[in-house]
Amino acid sequence: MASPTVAAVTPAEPPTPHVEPEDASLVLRSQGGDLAAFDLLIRRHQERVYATVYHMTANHEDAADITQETFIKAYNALPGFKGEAGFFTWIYRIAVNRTLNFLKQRRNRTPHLSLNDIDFNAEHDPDLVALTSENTPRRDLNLTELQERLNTALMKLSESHRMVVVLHDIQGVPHEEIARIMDCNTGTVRSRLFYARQQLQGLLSDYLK
Amino acid sequence: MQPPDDAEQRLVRLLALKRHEIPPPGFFDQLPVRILVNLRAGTEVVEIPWWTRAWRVLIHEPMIGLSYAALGVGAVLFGISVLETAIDVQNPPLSPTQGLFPTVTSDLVLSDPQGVQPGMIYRIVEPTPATWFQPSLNPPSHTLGLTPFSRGGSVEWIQVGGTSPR
Repeated sequence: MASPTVAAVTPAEPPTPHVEPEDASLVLRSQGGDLAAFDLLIRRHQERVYATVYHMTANHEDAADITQETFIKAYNALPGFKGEAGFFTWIYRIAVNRTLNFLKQRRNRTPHLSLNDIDFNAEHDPDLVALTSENTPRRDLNLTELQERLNTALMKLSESHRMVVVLHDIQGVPHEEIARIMDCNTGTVRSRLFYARQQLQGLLSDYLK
Repeated sequence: MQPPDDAEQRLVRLLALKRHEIPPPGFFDQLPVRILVNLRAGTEVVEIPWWTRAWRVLIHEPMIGLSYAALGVGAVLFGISVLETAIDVQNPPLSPTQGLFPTVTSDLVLSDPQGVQPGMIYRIVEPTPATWFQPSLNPPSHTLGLTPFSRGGSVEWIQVGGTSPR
């Protein structure tokens, strides 16, 4: 047994890393009606789901509504979730479908675009620093203006092309995962990404010189 | 001129800027609470109610809202006209022959005192359909110069008001 003196000088043991339960076990508990487990699932995935919907709709209110609907729909559909795909893929698929349905309904009216704030870390982002460096003519670039230009350009893409760009280039989801989420093959994903980028390069050419 | 790969890389870096867009502070703390409250309340799927969507359409696209309103008004007017036509079919207007028999249903102030009290208000009660086309027991026939029967059957005269003669 260690003496108190020794214990006092011994550096404190690193805290036992808190092992987060895996999605699968949380899903099982949620299927049994454990809302606390589902709460953990929400907190784990809400930011990515929200961000995807937000980048697709360019409107915070719509994104908030659709994200909420997505998780409620997911909870009610959990009994049918067999676990062939990961929970992440499954919840993304629900979010993507609901977003595409929403955009289909919104197609006939002028969308009301809103801009979220840029987080503080953006100023330290090396990509942004490179964009606004002294070597480029955009050092006085207005971030809000850039956001608006990006949003406007993205909104000019078709919904399926925009979804691929959002998932891959903004969210960093791999091609194979996107194919599973969008229920298409990887070649289609790559093709859509190629054409979407070409279109965006034309729309944002003055920022890419 | 830059090679296409370079432009594509720049585009990807530009798009990555959008990762820094964040919702209002506290949003990700409130969202799970809102979702769980709805789930506990047994709300199936809290979709945006139709009136909220309609309101947003009205706000953002007033012309579309006006068009829907015009369509709604048109539908109501059409419904009314169809209803009126249906009523007319069920109750066709009286033929000229039938028109010879006056139908008096309003209150009458009698001016001729014969047989009835002057100054009193009487109501002629229509015969029920069951008594139509039956011989009538007529009340005083001089009343207002009208023949007080309507499509046959008996007619009752009921005193409903007025002052007693002095």
